[in-house]
Amino acid sequence: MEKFESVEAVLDFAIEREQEAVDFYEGLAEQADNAALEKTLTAFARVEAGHKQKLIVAKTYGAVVESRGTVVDMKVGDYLVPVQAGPNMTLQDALIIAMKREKAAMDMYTDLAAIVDDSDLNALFTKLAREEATHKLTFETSYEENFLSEN
Amino acid sequence: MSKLTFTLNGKPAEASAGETILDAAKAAGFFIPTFCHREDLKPFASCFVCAVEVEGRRSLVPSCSTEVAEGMVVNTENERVKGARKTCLDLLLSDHVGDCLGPCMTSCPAGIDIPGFVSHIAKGEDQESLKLIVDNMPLAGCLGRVCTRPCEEACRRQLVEEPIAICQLKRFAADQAIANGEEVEPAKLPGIGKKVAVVGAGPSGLAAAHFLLMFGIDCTVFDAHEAPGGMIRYGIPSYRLPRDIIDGEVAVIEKLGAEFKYNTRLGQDITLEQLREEYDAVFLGLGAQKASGMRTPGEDLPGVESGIEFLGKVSRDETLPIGNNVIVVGGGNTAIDAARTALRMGADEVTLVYRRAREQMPAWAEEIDAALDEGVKLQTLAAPVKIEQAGDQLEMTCIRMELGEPDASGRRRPMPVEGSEFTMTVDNIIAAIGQNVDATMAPGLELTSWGSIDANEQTGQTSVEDVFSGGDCVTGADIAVNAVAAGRRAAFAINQFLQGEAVVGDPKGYNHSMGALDEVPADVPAAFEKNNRVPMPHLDAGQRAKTFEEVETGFTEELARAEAARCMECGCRDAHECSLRDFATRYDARADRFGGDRREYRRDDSHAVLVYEEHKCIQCGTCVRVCDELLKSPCLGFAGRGFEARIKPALDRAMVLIGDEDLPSLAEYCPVGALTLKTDPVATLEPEAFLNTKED
Ligand SMILES: Cc1cc2nc3c(=O)[nH]c(=O)nc-3n(C[C@H](O)[C@H](O)[C@H](O)COP(=O)(O)OP(=O)(O)OC[C@H]3O[C@@H](n4cnc5c(N)ncnc54)[C@H](O)[C@@H]3O)c2cc1C
Ligand code: SF4
Ligand code: SF4
Ligand code: SF4
Repeated sequence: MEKFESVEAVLDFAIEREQEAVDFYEGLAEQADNAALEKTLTAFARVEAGHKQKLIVAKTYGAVVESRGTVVDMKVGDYLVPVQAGPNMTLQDALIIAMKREKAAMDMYTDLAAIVDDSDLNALFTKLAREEATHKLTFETSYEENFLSEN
Repeated sequence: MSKLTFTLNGKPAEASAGETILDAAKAAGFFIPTFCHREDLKPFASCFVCAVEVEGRRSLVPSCSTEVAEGMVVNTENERVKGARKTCLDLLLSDHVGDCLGPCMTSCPAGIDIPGFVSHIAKGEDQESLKLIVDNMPLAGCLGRVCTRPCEEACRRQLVEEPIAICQLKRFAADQAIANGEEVEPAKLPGIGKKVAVVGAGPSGLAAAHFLLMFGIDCTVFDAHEAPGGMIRYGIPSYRLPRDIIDGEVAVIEKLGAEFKYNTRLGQDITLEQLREEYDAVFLGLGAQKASGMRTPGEDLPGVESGIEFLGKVSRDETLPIGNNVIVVGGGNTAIDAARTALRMGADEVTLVYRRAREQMPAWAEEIDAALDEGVKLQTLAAPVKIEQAGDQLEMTCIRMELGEPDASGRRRPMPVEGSEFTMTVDNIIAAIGQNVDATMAPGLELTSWGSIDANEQTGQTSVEDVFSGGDCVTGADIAVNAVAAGRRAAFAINQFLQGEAVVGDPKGYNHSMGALDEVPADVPAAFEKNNRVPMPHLDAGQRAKTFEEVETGFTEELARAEAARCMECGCRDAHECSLRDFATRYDARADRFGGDRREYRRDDSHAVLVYEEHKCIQCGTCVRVCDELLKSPCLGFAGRGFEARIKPALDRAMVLIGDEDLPSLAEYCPVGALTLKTDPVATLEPEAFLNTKED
């Protein structure tokens, strides 16, 4: 695991992933025809930018990445058919895309935590996974409230 | 007589010597509120709402008792004066106890006059009852069958035992007209030479057309379907709402003058641009027509369809074949309707699969019970994961769910139980998990991120000024009465728009309320004897489960009269004349600005003709002065002082001194509803109330 030889390197990696998330949601926003949905997606991007900021602060000051408590995994998105982004996508589509994306990020950090030996790094990856789980939960809660109200 | 000159609201004005500011301002066309001032009584200057500003004087002065002086500079409507009036009214309202309109009426989104129509039924005046309804709401017989009854939730009668069967009584009024072959036509104003295109013949579009026509505006209603009703025809099954009821009520709108063009789809046969060119305004009542998919793998397999697709097909052909074994996914009303319909189409086994617990099902409890009585099975805490073809049949894999710990909002969310998958093999799967709006056929309108049309809540006006919208396509899938109310509001707004007036919809006046059920003084229900709600007669589960015959058979005359007689007639006899209510509306007064105790509820019913409601008395002293000065019978007086002052003695003792013929005038003099005649009905909307206000 040379790539992740230090806490800093891990944080750099995580910061890059968050930037990718910002770019991803901005890209989605650009595709959407519906102006209000575009705004919602831009807001998703801003939230990701906030996550990135948090990690930069943690890296600069050597602070601990905060993430407390257990995060429930509602698995709302897990069983849904993946959707393709496009101009006609709906809020439901966008939330499915987001849930799936956050789940992938969560799984990635969980997997990394499992393969690093260093206990500091393990703790950091676990925390990052939990962070992503929190983001996923936000989208899941929204999906469940808006699209599973009768289900 | 020599005239004095003075300045009134920045303009030169004249007054006679000795004339009060109030009279001079009134003569100049300015409105000044007052409770206690009467031309035939001596000035009393007690209520202070008539206060005005006289430059050079530190405090405001009562205009009813201040005479105009030469060169005086008077302001009767600046911010300071308005603020003082509002404060004065806020104070009066802060301890006032009463309901201007019954809580049922204020909870009805369409604002129909409930105590009014119910009381007509109690008296056997069914036609008058229906007339009162249709002037304020179309589709009485439809809504009387399917409305979710927000009014009954607020009904005061619950404090005695159970709410009044408001909705079923409304249905009774509509059914009586059919049974007696009577036609009740809504009122209609003369034509104004404008025409509006209404797209969508669902409840919102029909309501918009109904009121536009009443306003004298021509309407053409376009709908993609071959018949009117929207989701109340293609969603709600006929055993809950027979189609002839819809047809009959649409015929009333047609008779009012609507032209219907069916099989005409916006975005395909006509465009929004065309309509805007051809008509003076457009109303879009497109509904939420797109089923939300489950988004599970296998959803596209033949034999799997959405609840609204299934119900729509059955609505067109009630002999459609269906398999023996059917799963319906969902827990809302659409799911229940689909399940009960599947039984009626011949399915032997119908199972509802719902991901939460029964208590969380959004469907009405009565509807769930009715479905279970008919034999529908319930599989709660299970969610579909995938669907696969299994020979001629479908295999649905579900996962069991459990409710998690309550989250920050206190809700227990369903969570899948790892490894708990199980399968069910069936012939058909109906997914009834919600609907979305698709408004892409109306380009140019701003949408919300849900894809629904972004329209003003009060007026329905969209981002394009001559295009209005309402109902499910604005709110997302909702209930019929809200769609009707939205159509009504939009019709008001469109009328204003076409007449070049400010577009405000149908603004409601101030309404004072005793509050939520637990805030109502105990004496109010205590005056009534217990007498349970009359149950709605219905077919037995065994009789009905296999046919589309209407399940609820309707009240007989006898039952309807008995049920209507239970109404407590909440609301104030004076609501349409009350000065307190009028001024509170004008000055945007509020009851909750100053906290503190409310008055005690004290109703003096001792007199044969008059009622005195101390909790509504504002101590303006008018009645005392009428007795003293006009009736020359000092039989009423104040006991106590200031806020504690009360009119005394009890009416039966006081009134023996006055001749009966003078009594009505005493009630008329009271500016609020504290002194009223027992014979007056409680606050009702006059028939054609809104048309009258328009003619003002
Ligand atoms: C199964 C089911 C059961 C329900 N049960 C109840 C109930 O018991 N009580 C209750 O209060 N509510 C119930 N509802 C909800 C209620 O039916 C709706 O809230 C109500 O019908 C909404 O009225 P609307 O006019 O906004 O839209 P809709 O009723 O959906 O009408 C919209 C109309 O617009 C037409 N339209 C759409 N797009 C176009 C286009 N492009 N061109 C031309 N025409 C178009 C459609 O054909 C349709 O006729 C139920 C709904 C469903 C689906
Ligand atoms: S007295 Fe006036 S304000 Fe009071 S309840 Fe009656 S109508 Fe409303
Ligand atoms: S008792 Fe009658 S007036 Fe009072 S809330 Fe109920 S229906 Fe309305
Ligand atoms: S009861 Fe008499 S004092 Fe009270 S508000 Fe009416 S007129 Fe005024």
